[in-house]
Amino acid sequence: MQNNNHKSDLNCAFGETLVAVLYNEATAAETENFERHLNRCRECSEELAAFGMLRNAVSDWRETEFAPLALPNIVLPDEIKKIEAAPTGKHSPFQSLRAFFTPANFGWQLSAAGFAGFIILGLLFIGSTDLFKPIKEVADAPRPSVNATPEIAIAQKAERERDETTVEKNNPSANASNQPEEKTRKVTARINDKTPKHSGIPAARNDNLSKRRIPVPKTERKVEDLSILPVAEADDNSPRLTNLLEEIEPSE
Amino acid sequence: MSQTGTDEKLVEMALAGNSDAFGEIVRRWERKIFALCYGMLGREEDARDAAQETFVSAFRNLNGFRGDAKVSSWLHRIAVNQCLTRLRRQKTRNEAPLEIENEDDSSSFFAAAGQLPSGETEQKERIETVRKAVGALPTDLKQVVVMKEFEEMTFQEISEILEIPLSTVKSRLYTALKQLKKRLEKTPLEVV
Repeated sequence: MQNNNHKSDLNCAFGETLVAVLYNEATAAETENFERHLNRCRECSEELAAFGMLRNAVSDWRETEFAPLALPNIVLPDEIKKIEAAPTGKHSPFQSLRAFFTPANFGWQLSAAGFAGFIILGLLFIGSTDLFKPIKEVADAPRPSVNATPEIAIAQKAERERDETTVEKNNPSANASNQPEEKTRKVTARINDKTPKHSGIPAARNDNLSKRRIPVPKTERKVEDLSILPVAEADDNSPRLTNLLEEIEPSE
Repeated sequence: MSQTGTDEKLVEMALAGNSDAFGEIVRRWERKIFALCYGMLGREEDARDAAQETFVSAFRNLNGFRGDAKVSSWLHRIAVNQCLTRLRRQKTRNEAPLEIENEDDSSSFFAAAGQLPSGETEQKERIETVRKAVGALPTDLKQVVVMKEFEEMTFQEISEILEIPLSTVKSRLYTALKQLKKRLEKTPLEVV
């Protein structure tokens, strides 16, 4: 007679008792209760018999193949023992460096000498390499002259001439011995007065040219290149000395 | 020199620098760990290598051992992981997968098992069939079967090592036996 409550799946109420009985680990009460159940449940009886055969088969496997085997003779490598036994066996590079310079190991004098030698070697290394050469070359390179452009050159020259003229006016006696040069200087002063008009620089700005730093144009034009620059005769509006002298002569 | 004390005490001694203490742990557990590896892997050489690697791994990670767990539980977890790693490698390399044929045959495992007497060849065939059937079980079920049959542990010991309830151990074993029965019922057994 089959128990209606019996379910031949994992939720069988007697499943755990069945394996306990199978392996002789059930209590006396559990065994007695299960034997009563077996009288009513054919499935559990068949299952118990099949599990018994399975257990015998596994036991045969164990006794035939595993039991004769020798123990694996576990060997722990000596190098692992040494590494694990020493808690400070593994060091980071920083720890190794610090340990190298530890005074307790070598004495502070040796540590200081080593550190000094390290610094010297570092300086020698830096000196022997071209590490800073590009910077030095840039620093020593000839800076572009502010006279590189014709406008600036003319403006500075005009300022110098005007200064000299001012000095002569304030001190005429000093110019008595320089009468032959007076005429030329006046002409130069006229040139200076006209120069800003042709150079495109306002007269008010000319006074400030020598006082403030003139920014160097990024696209520098070398002075040597000026000589080969073609200047069209029609576009050349710069004052000519001969023209100026002709203007001065009638007035005198 | 033999050490005394619990496994946990031996671990403390090993951590304190006593190399013999871990040797005692190895002596206590090497046979059971070897049996577990053999049952899980089914091959002697693989089992030896896995057992060796289990203890070496345990020794290397001795500092990571948590005092709240039992040493036996810790060793079994390491061993099972070693076995699973090897099984994955075998599967990747297709090394003799533990599979059984699902052919219906009148000469099934249980039918042949009931016949007496059985010759040596037939017994080897049966053992091979059982080995493959156990190897095809899910890991958690296989582990319980192996611990019960090869390590010959009680349910209570298995419960403590796996840190699962006693009833769970029994239900897992019951489920494992049912799956084994189901697989072997469909397995033909060649009787020579």
